[in-house]
Amino acid sequence: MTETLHNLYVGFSVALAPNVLLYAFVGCVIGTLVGVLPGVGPLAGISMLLPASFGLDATSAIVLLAGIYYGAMYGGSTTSILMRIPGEAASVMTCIDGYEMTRKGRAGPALAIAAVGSYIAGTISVVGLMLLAPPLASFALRFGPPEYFALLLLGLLVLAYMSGGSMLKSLAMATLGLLLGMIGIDPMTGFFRFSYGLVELGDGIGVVPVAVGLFGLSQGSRLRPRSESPG
Amino acid sequence: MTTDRLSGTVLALFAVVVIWESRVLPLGTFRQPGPAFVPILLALLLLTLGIFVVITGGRAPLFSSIGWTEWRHAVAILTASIFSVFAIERLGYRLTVLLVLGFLVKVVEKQGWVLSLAFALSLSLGSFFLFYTILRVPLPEGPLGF
Repeated sequence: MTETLHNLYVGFSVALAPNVLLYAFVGCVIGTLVGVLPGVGPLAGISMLLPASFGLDATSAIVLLAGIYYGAMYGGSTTSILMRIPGEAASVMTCIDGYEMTRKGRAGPALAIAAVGSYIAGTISVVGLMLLAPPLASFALRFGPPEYFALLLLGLLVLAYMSGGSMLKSLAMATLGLLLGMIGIDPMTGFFRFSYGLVELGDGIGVVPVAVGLFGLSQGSRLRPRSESPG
Repeated sequence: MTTDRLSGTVLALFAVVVIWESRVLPLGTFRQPGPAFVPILLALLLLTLGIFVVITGGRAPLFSSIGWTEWRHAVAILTASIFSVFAIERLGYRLTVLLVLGFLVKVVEKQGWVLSLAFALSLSLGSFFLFYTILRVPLPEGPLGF
């Protein structure tokens, strides 16, 4: 515990320096701008903006990239709330209630709730990670393939149980999602599955393109003003 | 034909296609599954579920009752997306974004020439300046250097 407190003291003494705070602010602003773009999530944002950290010292670069990460995590919720197009995978669920608030003329409160929620959850998770990382690491080592399989099965069953509509259709859609996840290199044997000679499909189809495609295209076709003549 | 019955049929047909396409991959055994094992297992499950959706989907709304009023809008957005995928490396970022945005704002949203051109030009050049020049993101320039 004493070591944790000492590490905290050292960390805060670095993080609260004025120039580091400036880089954190700049990173958050850029990250929010990037996160607003549909399909560009935190990881893609950091990869794209890595050259922006060239020429900085290690601490400022890490702080800038961390700011971009958190900014992009929050920025993804903006398009989810305003247009029902998820900025990245984590903000898919925000589409459901956030966009409903926008339709009722409460876009401002929805954006504010997302910002405050992002801040509170981010802070709590960082503090939790800081305190629980050592015991979690030892627990994670005991997590093998059977545990992962059981967790996956639990997730699918909860999905089928919790979904509002037909359980049959939910299971069918979950199976379709799992089948789409089969595209790409088989991790056990290295075979290319359903890639049809396209190297790009070797990595499979990510959650973000599917989510943006499903939500974005369907919403894009509905955003046209109703006063215009139907196609 | 109801919507549920059509969806169930499409899912079942998709499952059959997956099973057919998996024939080129080694199936393996239950103890040593090959790359086709799990896809075929999932496809069989999807086939079963699709058939159940067809059987139980008699009370869903009729497919012919759906009004396809927005199909032109959806096709235009899809076409613009496919065009940008193929054009961005060949024409460069600025020209591709200019063309796609110009098309979407002028043709799809039916705005005036001045507004469409101003919006497309400012966003394509502005975003290029922000990401390429300031943030040094390597965006494609195209053979014309534009």
